[in-house]
Amino acid sequence: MSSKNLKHSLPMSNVPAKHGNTKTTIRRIEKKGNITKYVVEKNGLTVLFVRVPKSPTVTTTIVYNVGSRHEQTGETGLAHMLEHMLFKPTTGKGVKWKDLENKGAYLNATTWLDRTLYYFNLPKEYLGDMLAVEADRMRNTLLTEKEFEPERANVLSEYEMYNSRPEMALDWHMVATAFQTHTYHHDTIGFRTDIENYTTASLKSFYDRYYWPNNATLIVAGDIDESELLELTEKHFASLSSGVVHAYAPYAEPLQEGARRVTLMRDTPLRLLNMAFKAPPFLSLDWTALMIGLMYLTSGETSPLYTKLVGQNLATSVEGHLYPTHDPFLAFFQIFTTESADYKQIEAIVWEEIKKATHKPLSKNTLSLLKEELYTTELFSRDGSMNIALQLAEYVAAGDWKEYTTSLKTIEHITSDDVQRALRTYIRVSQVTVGTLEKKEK
Amino acid sequence: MNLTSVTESPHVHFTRVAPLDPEIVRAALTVRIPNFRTVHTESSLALYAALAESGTAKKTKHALITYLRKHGITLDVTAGKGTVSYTVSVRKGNIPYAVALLSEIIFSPSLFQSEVQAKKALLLEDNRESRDNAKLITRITFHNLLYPEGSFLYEQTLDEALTEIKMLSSKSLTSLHTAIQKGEWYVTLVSDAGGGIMFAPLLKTLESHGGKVPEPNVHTIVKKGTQSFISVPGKTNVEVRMGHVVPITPLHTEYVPLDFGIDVLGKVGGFSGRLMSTVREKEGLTYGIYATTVDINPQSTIYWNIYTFFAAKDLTNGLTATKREVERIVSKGITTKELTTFKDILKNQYFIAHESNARRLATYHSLSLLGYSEQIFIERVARIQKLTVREVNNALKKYINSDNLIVCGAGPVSREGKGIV
Repeated sequence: MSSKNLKHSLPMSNVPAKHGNTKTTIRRIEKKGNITKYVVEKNGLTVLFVRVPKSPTVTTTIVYNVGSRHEQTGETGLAHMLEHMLFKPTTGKGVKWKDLENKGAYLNATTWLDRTLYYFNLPKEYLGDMLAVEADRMRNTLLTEKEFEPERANVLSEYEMYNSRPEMALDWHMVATAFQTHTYHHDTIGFRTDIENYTTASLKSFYDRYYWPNNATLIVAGDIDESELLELTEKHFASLSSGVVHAYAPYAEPLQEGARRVTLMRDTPLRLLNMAFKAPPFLSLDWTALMIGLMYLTSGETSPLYTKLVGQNLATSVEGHLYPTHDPFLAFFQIFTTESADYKQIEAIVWEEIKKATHKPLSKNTLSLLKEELYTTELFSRDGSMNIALQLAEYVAAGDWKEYTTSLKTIEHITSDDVQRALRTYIRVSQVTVGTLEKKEK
Repeated sequence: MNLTSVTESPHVHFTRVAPLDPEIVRAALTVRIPNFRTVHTESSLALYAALAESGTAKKTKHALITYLRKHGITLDVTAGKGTVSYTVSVRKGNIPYAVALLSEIIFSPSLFQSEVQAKKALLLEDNRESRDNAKLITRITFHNLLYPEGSFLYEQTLDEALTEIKMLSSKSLTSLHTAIQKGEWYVTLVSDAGGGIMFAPLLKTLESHGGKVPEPNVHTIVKKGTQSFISVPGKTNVEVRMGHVVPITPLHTEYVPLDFGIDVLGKVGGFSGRLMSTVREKEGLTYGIYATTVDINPQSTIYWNIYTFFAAKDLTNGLTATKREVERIVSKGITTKELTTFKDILKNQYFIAHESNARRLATYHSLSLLGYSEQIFIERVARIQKLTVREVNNALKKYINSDNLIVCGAGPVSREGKGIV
């Protein structure tokens, strides 16, 4: 999270990196904070290196600029399905991910709106193997029926795991209501009918559209030698060719011109009222300002919404959520209500507190405390090579890794005016989608 | 790696762990309370923990939250199994503020009547919401089929908790507070030596108030297998747990080989266990399926269990496939290749456990609570490297029996475990 107008970057050095006696084809581009950026000249792969002193392990994370926002009608969930398939056999020779699993690697992959990422965490002597696996499965994954069908069943099982949770299902319906044309419309897991109907041809096509070195960023975090990293990167990635990455042409979401409502009916004792507002993208000053505004309204037992809702026995919890997305997404208020609470009454209270917050600026002291809380939360989330790599990956996906190095400073620069402006701009009646969980009819 | 320094005093077990990042300090303090694992007191503990941020004798709730923010302290207070745990993160320069606050929260919580009533109302609502939590319901049912009421591992059911919460009062919390002060403390700090010095005054205070609490001694008999399913409407998956008690303690010579064998069957996390490669990857019956042994402390016997979920329509096939894998590993044992592979896995996971300050805290605080030192941890890692196929397979044959599987599930099922979706 950071501000465009605060960012500043170092000049590109354009000095080819050297290691050992061999001149590499990896070009050192720039260093910002403790992160150095390189590019593999032949194919455009970006490499970000973060040294983590004394770390007993090293983390590799490869981020592909493809997520569910790149999917079209009929292929929702395909980015995620493909992520599962990258754990299947490849045509390549050499080390496979399962070999690393069998060495005890902490590994996994996740897909989200804007990106798909894969990570390994192991002692540094396995770094070469970790890179070999990523290079191999980037282009060599076998997308056959035999491998695909059991995995389709697994993904359907995952779909049901999420769908079983009413709060998650309500989120899906709300996002689909809030976004009518932008592909944030559908959740990353996709629609069940789409998952049931993909073919290996559609998977292959999607793979060939996005899985290229020039659409990926490799992040390596650990206590390793820079020249060793470059040598290994050269060895495993330099032979890959670049590809034609499918151009992403998002539909701009038309201006929302009034409140929208959606209801989910489930056989559940839970009672939930969500309010979601169109929100700014991650890499903007407004995002951080709005985050502080949401924290003011919902964080801690002395926040206005906690006091008025949980404190008055109308709700069991109230939370604010804002996500680090590439394009404008949503800011959520999630309110689990007590059994007898009236949704209308709760909504009215929320609007009343929003009105107060947008009309009266935060005091200097309150702002300072909220900034300190956000600062420490951010700082504590950078504990260890894996957290660092995964956090940095979100900045890559949102469009600018360099913002990772300035985000703590950005928090310090937020003013009360910034917070008030963000609340007034985004937390408005015309921009809301209200979702409620109701008891299913018998 | 020898990252820890341990200071034992009669009432406080203190472990300081060298940090990876000295700027981020993490600590966990757990107090074990005498005779406090009963249906009644588990509810009291939950209420007591919920009140931790409601203020102290010196600070109102507002002042306390302001203090936390001002000094960049994150605090999480939880309770369960006869313990209360305080977990904090703070920047190194602010350790003295965290220490002062912990002292206040532990020794002088406000326990205001109005706050007690408010949190009690929340616990009642939480109890209602928990009836939607099929995973929790499965776990409770499973534990209670393994362990009889009154046992340390018996868990209060949601109905029992509801009755208890309704009866809670400020008075019951006051007596609980007295008991907590007299409890036995387990403190783990991830910080450099300077941080340890700053924590010393708090440790001294804990020592002067604390007492010796005998660890539970849990032994129960292995029962004949049974099944129990609970209907949780509105779900599409059935949460499942299965396993049985094992009549050996973690210090028994056959514990390490048995634990190793269970890891081969379904090591938690990732895809390496047999259950993941068969029931998930080959048969596509679930998204995740894991198996583990569970220790209570060095002198209590253990249990083992598998946990997973299946779509209601796949429940029968899922249970059959899982039992098949249990029977297969017992009858045919693990292979030489699996022995080598899992030795590597467990060796490298030792390094991963030290990958961040948060992981170091989690690793060493759990060890401390189980009564183990870093040395025992290192010895166990070394013992694993010396295991033989025969040792592992003998332990599996001797202690795992699919006829004794207690199988529990919750979701869209009938009591007999028939899927209704």
